Amino acid sequence: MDDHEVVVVDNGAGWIRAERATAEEPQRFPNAAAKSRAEAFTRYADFSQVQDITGLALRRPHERGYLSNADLEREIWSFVLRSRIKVDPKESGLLVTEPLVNLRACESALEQIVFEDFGFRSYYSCPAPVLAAREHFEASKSDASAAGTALVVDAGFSFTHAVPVFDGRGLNYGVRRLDFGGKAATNLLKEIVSHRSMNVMSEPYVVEMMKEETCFVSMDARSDLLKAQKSRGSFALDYVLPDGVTVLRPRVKTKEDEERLLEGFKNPRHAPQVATLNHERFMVPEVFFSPSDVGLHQCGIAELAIQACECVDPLLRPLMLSNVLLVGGSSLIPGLPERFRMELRKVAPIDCEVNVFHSKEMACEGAWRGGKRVVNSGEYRAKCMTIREYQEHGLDPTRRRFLS
Amino acid sequence: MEAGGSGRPRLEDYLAVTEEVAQRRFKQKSTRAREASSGLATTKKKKAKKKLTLKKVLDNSGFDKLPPGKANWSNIEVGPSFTPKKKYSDISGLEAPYTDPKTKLRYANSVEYKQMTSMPYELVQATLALRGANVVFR
Repeated sequence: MDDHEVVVVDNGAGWIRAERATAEEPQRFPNAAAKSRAEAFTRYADFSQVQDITGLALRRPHERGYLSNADLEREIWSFVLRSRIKVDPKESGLLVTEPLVNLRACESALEQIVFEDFGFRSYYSCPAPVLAAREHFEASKSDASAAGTALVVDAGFSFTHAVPVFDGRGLNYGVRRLDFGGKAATNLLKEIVSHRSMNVMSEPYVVEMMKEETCFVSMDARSDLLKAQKSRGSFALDYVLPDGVTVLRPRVKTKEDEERLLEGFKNPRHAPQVATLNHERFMVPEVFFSPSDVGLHQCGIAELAIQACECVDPLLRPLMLSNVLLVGGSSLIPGLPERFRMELRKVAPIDCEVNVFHSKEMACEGAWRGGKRVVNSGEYRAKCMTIREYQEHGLDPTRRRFLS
Repeated sequence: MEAGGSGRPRLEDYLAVTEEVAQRRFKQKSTRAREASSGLATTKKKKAKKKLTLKKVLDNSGFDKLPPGKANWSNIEVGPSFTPKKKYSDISGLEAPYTDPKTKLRYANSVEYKQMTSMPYELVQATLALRGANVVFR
């Protein structure tokens, strides 16, 4: 098999992180296409140049976490590979992340794009949490890491998964999924803000930026709620929404905005649009810990980890609990890792040591770095599917030997 | 995959393509490639073929026919929480540490209890039905 470079693509439902395997850091793009109201063409994956982001309706190729619109994914990858990473698919291989317990139809749709539309030389797909675990094993020196055992809690865009990893491989029968993720949190914040201040139901992109800037997780939601009730100013935050003309990107209200607001009472057309956030700043991420708040008959992420642990051999459980890895974009909410540690310690068995590992780099880029490790270690070369195999045998699920 | 080879395609590999391999490859070519080689042009068909809706995919995946031990889309859903639930009063909504043993209504203080004793049977059952705790006689 000839030597060709490999592109590692962490293909998430929310964001793509992609770069050549030889690079240090991945580039990050939203995995969506959108057409701004003021422009006539559709943009793929890069909205930083858009002037008017109000009403930006994103179309995503992933639906509820699984790839349903392969055509759209092809367009997005086309843009990312050709204009940003500048790599020729016919001269390289591809390592992609796929959802856990992926559906056969989605797998074959992806294989078709990879080999027929792009013409990659080779292909390897793997679930993202397992790659993140591999990266973690190299970095940490504990016994559990030496055994290749970990429990990865991936707080992603569509779902939050808890994946037990043993011997460097994910145990599919032990995976547990919570149907709440970054996307659901954004939608919840959209509804709440629309009820309270301004109607933002058609602006998921803006509300996502709002969520990233203003939301946090409190250690004790009940007492914080009482505090917010007693004095309005404890958690209140004014957030300026974009209007495409004077305010291009949403931000927390500044002094200039305050002055313009006062002027705006005389001339309403020039007033900045301000939404006030209060306790929804911490009640929206609180749903990660009690999804019954929004009517989901599921448990929070601490118990999710325990339920995933209980599906594996009892001898492995203490090892896994001592090596819990928290990854995913939603784990970057300020305060979430600390709260998760506290909640997990509450529900874990008393004789187990509980260690939760979390860092900003691992949360966003852990899966990408794990993919890089798979490429550099030679496992990619040994187990990838080449285009010749695809042409001879076609879409045959038994030829997929990834992670076996 | 060639074992230990340099990976360059050899003439023998091309000549070794038998009739059945050629047929299989033809079938698995993309629609676009097949129609291009046979001279027809139907671009609309190609778009409809590749676009999946998740609902169709899930319905066709037949996950309920798979063996129960194998993970599939529906059985990896996490179950409800085991933490003890807080009880709230059926009358006021405050936290209710007490339950009436006769009617199984929850109440928070003595004022509510007094009100509760004067509630008629239908009202009691209707209040319990809101919580899903009423007994239905068939």
